Amino acid sequence: MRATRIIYRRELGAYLRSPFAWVLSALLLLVAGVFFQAYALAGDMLSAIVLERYFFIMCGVAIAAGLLLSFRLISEERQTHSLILLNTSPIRDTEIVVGKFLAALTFLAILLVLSIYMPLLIKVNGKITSAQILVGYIGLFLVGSATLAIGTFASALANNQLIAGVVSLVIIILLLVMNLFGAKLDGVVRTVVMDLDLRRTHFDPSFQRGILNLKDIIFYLAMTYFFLLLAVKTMEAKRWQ
Amino acid sequence: MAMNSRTASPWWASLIFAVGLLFIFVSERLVTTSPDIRMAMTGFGLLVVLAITGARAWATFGSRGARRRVERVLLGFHLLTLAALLVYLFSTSWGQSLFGVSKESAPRWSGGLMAIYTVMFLCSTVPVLMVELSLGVALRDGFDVRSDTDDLSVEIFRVREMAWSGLTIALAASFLMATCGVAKERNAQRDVSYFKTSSPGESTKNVLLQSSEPIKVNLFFPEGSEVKTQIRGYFDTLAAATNKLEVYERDRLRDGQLAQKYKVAKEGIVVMSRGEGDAEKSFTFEVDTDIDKARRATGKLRNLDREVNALLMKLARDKRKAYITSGHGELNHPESVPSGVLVPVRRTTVLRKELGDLNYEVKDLTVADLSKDVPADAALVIVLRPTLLFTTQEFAALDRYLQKGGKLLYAIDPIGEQSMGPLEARIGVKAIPDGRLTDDLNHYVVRNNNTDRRYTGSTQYAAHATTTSMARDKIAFLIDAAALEDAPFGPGGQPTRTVVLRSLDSSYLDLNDNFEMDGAEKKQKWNLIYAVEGPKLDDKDGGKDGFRAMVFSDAELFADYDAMNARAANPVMYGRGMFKDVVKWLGGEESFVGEAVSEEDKAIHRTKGQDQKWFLLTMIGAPLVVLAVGLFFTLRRRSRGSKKELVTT
Repeated sequence: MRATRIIYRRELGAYLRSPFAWVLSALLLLVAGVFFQAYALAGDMLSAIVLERYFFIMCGVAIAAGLLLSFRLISEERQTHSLILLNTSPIRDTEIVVGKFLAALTFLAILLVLSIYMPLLIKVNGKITSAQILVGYIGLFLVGSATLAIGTFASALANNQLIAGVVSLVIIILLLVMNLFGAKLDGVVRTVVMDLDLRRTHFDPSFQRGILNLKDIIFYLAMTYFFLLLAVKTMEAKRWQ
Repeated sequence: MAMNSRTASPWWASLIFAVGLLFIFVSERLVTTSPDIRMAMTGFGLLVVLAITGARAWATFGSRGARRRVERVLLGFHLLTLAALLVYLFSTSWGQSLFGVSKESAPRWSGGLMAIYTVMFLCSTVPVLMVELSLGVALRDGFDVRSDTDDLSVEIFRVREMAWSGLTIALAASFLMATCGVAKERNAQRDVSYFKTSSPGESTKNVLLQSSEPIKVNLFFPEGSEVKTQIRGYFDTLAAATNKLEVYERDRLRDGQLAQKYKVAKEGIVVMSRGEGDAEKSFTFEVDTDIDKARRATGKLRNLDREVNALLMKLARDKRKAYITSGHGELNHPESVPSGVLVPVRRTTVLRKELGDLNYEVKDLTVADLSKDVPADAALVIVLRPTLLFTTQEFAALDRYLQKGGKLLYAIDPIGEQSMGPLEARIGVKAIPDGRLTDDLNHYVVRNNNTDRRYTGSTQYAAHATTTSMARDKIAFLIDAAALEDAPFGPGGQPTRTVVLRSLDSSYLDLNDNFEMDGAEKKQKWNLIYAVEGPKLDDKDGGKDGFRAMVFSDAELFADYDAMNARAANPVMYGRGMFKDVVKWLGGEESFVGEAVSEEDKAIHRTKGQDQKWFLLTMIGAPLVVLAVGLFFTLRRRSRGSKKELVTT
């Protein structure tokens, strides 16, 4: 636990000190702002619809942020040969993975909090509830968490940051189109495949609309746990090399 | 990951095993239309799986030492796969008939077995994958069954570790799948989107408080209906606030006589009644018993208060008649617009519906009728943007009507005839000719050019019964409005004149119709809506209250069309209840004014100024602030770090 805390603080400090993280944050906010103006505030401007569109946009932003923040987590250490220091210190792989993941998750949460002014603008001028905004942000946090876990796994798997990025992108894209695959299937396989969709099954019909579903929360937590477990096991396997 | 060890069996044995499994999966799950192909593919896949398992067994028993232990691990997992296939077989119709499973219990049987064989498949295939990844392919190109050499090259410890890792991942995946499955089946949901059954508004409470006798509410809903619970909650709140409401839950079949009396033929009916026996008056409305449908945007729950308010108005007093003039090219009668006069065609269906909700019967007041006189039963006369001047007889009829304490709603418009003839002296209000209200600062963005300046907004309401629903910050927007001013009163008692709405002081009257402020045009607050109340009538005229009149400088306020949101009616006049307040005040029912609560969504309207602020904030401001703050702290920290280094040096 202590080791996790140390890694967490070191990683979070690195994020906050790094211009990359701030440039990334500003860029993602800019992208969110552009889409907010061009898509959410276009056409029919009923406040609930604008908020739904906003969360639709932000879900994409959260996924992109999760991907960009995570792909370097472990592969960078490996590329710069500093992972060997971690491996030879009395720290377990679980502690390394969890510490790095939590730091990235904290930074992602900060990024999401920074975007709160957009739904607040809708709230001031429209007819939406604070709880609706809160539920949307819980969803964004969970989607971001799952994406970060996927990125962490890809980062543990690949020796190179670029490959890690590509691997996590491929996994995320696959999980984003599961609903389309599932629609072509029948029976139980259809249900299972559709249930694996990262967004259309678990975010769009619920968090995006201000509906809190226990099943969706559990899905994202399960995804996060599973990919972090995969990351840990991959790290362990890599030690055998 | 691979360590490239020598083993008794080649790497491709596991690959072929996987291909065999893939054949079985594809044939059983995806090829459902052709039984022959399915049978052939499943048979082939099964044969492959059995052959590889056999080869693995041969390799296991033929080798010794570490090699044998590696093979034994792999064989164990292959056997588990075979067991999973057997369980799958039991879940098919063949298996069900073998075990005598009835049709009723078949879904549970196959569902339970499916969970088992899925876990078994995962637990048998993932560890093999992990072990194969750890062993590598380079030195394992064929079967190499030996009992004496090379034992040291195979590290069974690593293989076992990998197998355990695989098993952990498989078990975790199984557990998580099961958890997600249970969560899906037993899902708990909380909807916090902007939906709730509307609560009783002030207007509804006021109407009920004025009622001389209690109102009975009978709810005909099925037992345990969630919609009933919502509606009951609304009426209980209203009953507690007014003490004038009796609420009963009825069963359509059990209370058959009552259902027959109120003609209730299905579930989801609310009956509101007043009085007993022959004097009883009742009205009903229907609510969908499906909670999902009832809570939709078009569902009744969001507008329950509005619905109840309208019914209470009907119960509280007899129907009145409202006359809308026609034949002068009015907004409500475009057919009478003279040829050559170009005016936008608008509808007034919402206006008529709102009047109906207020228990008014709406009738047209034709040229022929008005030339004689305003009908004696007219509780309200409405004039909406005439494009032709009324004749002397018509004006005289309207004037007589006002003298007798009549109620008049008059909406002029820059594109219509702005003169109100002798009524100007009676009411003390006239239009400023040739000017069109324009605002280059506070206007709505509709077409993104300077014509938008005619979509002016204002919040300058006076405290008056007609503006009760328009609480602070509710912006009235007008489309191409004129401006009004005081006119000298004619002989007779002095009426009370109130300017109900003024423009913002950034508005000007565009006299030359070029949308720009130039020449003699000036910015100031312009009068837009007047409410005038005449002096009390003499005793010989019955001692009644004097006339009431409202003059609007924009007839578009009463049209269905809404430039901001083409699907809805004017959000100020209808959406936020100003029209009802106006009609209630004109009808002497100001004690009923107030907003009926509606939980319908609201369109976001922004003036050009607000639009610019939003744009700057979302596109430039926030990202720039984040970047600046982040870089400031980053650079400050770095400079501190380098100073520290310098000091140390």
